[in-house]
Amino acid sequence: MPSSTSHSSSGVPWKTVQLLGAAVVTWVLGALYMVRLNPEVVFFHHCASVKQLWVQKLDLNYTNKVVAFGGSSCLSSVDGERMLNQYGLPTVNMGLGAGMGAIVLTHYAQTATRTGDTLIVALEPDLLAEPLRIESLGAQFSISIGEPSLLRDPHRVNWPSVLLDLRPGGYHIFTLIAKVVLGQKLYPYLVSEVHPSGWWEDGARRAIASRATAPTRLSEDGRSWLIGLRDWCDQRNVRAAYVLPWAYCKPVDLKRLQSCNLRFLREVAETMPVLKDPNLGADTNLEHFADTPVHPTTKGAALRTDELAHEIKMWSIWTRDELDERLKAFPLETSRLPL
Amino acid sequence: MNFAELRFWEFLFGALTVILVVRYLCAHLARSALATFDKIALFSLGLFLLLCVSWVTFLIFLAVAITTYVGLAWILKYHAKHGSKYLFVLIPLQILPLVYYKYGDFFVNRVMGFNVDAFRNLVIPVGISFYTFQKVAFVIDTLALKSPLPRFLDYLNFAGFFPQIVAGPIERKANLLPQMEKFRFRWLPEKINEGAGWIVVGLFFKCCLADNLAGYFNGSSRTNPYLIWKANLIFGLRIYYDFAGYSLVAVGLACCLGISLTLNFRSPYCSTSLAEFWRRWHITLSGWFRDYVYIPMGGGRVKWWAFNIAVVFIVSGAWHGAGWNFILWGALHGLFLIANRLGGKLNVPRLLAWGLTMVGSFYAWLSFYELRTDVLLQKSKVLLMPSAYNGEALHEAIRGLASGDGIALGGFLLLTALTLLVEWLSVTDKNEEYYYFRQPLALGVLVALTLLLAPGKTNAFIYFAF
Repeated sequence: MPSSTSHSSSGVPWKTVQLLGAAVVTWVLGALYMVRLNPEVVFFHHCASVKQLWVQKLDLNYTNKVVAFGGSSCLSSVDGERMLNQYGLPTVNMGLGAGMGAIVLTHYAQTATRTGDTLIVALEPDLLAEPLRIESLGAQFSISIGEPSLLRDPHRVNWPSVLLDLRPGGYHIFTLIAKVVLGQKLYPYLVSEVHPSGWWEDGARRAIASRATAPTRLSEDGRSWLIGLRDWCDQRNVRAAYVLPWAYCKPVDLKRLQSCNLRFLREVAETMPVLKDPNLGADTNLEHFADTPVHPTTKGAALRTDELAHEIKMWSIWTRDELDERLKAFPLETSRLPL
Repeated sequence: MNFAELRFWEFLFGALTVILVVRYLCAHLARSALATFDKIALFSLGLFLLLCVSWVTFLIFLAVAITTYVGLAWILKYHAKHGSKYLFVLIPLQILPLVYYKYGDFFVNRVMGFNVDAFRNLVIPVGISFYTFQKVAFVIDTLALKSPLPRFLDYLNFAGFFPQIVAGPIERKANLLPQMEKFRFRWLPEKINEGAGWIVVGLFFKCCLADNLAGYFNGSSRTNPYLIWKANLIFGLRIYYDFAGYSLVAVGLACCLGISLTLNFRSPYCSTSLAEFWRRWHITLSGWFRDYVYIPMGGGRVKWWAFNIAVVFIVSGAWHGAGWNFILWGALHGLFLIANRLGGKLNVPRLLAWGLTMVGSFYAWLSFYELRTDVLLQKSKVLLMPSAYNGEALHEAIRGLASGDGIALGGFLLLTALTLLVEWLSVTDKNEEYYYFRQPLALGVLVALTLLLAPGKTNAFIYFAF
């Protein structure tokens, strides 16, 4: 191999240019597929269109509204029409998928929140227990709906990295190929299951194989994020509160899950009000859950919606003393527990 | 300095842009100083990238580099005739940081049974094993060949050439130093094309194969031999594509700058004996041990050749990490090689020889990743127990294969098998490793596969820990 020391020449390294060209073309095709054809993004894109219409309708007809947001546990739990019809609470469910990450989910909910609204933060604890980052699904969704501003965050956005997040990845491609070959549905959930208020009625039925995980501690990022959100709400006269999603657990694990949830809520209560959910985010009735420990059935969603409506109407908030008292009654759990 | 991270390339291109702009300006002011400028810029680039890793990494590197040069200069100036005697002073000084950071906790707390907190949780400076060995070889070669000391700037570039500083290849003075002495930043389209090819292959190995396989490694089973073999297989493939990927990117980056580095891997999983495996795996380290340990001990032509092999491989195991498991890994390979040499005259069909070589190397990987000695021994035993290979264990192992994870793993293993097949064809048809990968069409396919299949998160290179 001759070295640079022996000769030099001018000109364009065409082979390298061609490789760069191949990279750009592949990236463009991959990104186009992910934001336009990827069944998961298509589903959430449809959800976003439905939610947008509902927000417009509520803003037109009501002075204030309730905006609930989080991952799929929120998306599948809060029936806005039920909240409106049975409790007189105009509500939009701005929940999407937890895979999008707290940053995108929060920014997306903020686009629908107006002065005087009530913002229900139903982010899954896992999203607040780790350093916050822009997730691939969040980036794909944001670009898909033409809202790259959802990715804004002066401390975390690395645009080249976000652009690379628009690629599909091996897991997606291989499982997609397997589904096509085996003739399976490309995505388990249907756009026809999305109701006008943004609530997705989980029609899938599967034995619940995975277990709910008990929350760990609020991360520093998660804490800062909630404080920032609280300040944002204060500036706009928006009433905000955190509420835990309901998760299935076996009766034998109930105390442990509630104990972990309590400890997590105690930390959240330092940043913003926490709605007083008497179940502490745990439900032992398997019939209330569809295909995962956090996706309720229609019946489960109705119960969850009713409970949430009561909590909002009463604006029933845990005080820190109450949480401390309750904590004393539970065994101390120090580790993350699969239940 | 993780080649798989976007940040590295941002830093590199940012720094290169600055260098080239300054160079352009300097060219008009002081053309005669350009050669010196290029060398200073190259070394500064290496230091800057090291500094991006951490202050400790940066300072330790400088300490070892300066100690080596000053020590060697002193020996050559005052004791040139009996320089080899002073190796026993200078080499311990060179390896002192390596011993402290890498082996301090192991020797003091685990072997000797003390309880010294200062040695616990020490973060090993990135690349210390690699650049220390390169500098030790530099000292020995300089004294043995009685060659003059190079200029300090050339030595610094030899010692701190950024593509290879943190994970090799461990270069020799004879190969790298002359290139550094003549180094200039020049626009070399052919070299850039060639280097880009290596970079593409390396990134495909690292980002597409190693990083994806890493997500499926699970070494938790202690009693199921199928699951232990599965973990060994995934780990063995991952570590190869991880390290070879890094090494190929290093070769490619150097090539773009007009520097030729040694190929550190030559398709080791195409080997039909473990002796051949070691001629293809981490070649520059094997060469180092051969030249500076094995041959000085008498090599393979003395009666105690088996002892020599055992010593070399046990030391090589210890080089990889401070732990009994690494020593056992080295000892196992030493044992296999002794057996290999004793049975060398047996006429084994090529395919069977390949199969036996793979079984041996993948069996040994267990000792590499399993750090807990008691668990390691338990697992090793399970793998050798025929009764452990029962239907229940098989049922447990194949459970979940139809899940999303199982399907994705199947896809990645299939892709890996195809990659190995192309490696095999390159070796057998062309006698040139990775030949078919570096053809224009194949490179385009690799670019596409890497961009489409690489996971969102990259893992640090495994060998950074060594």
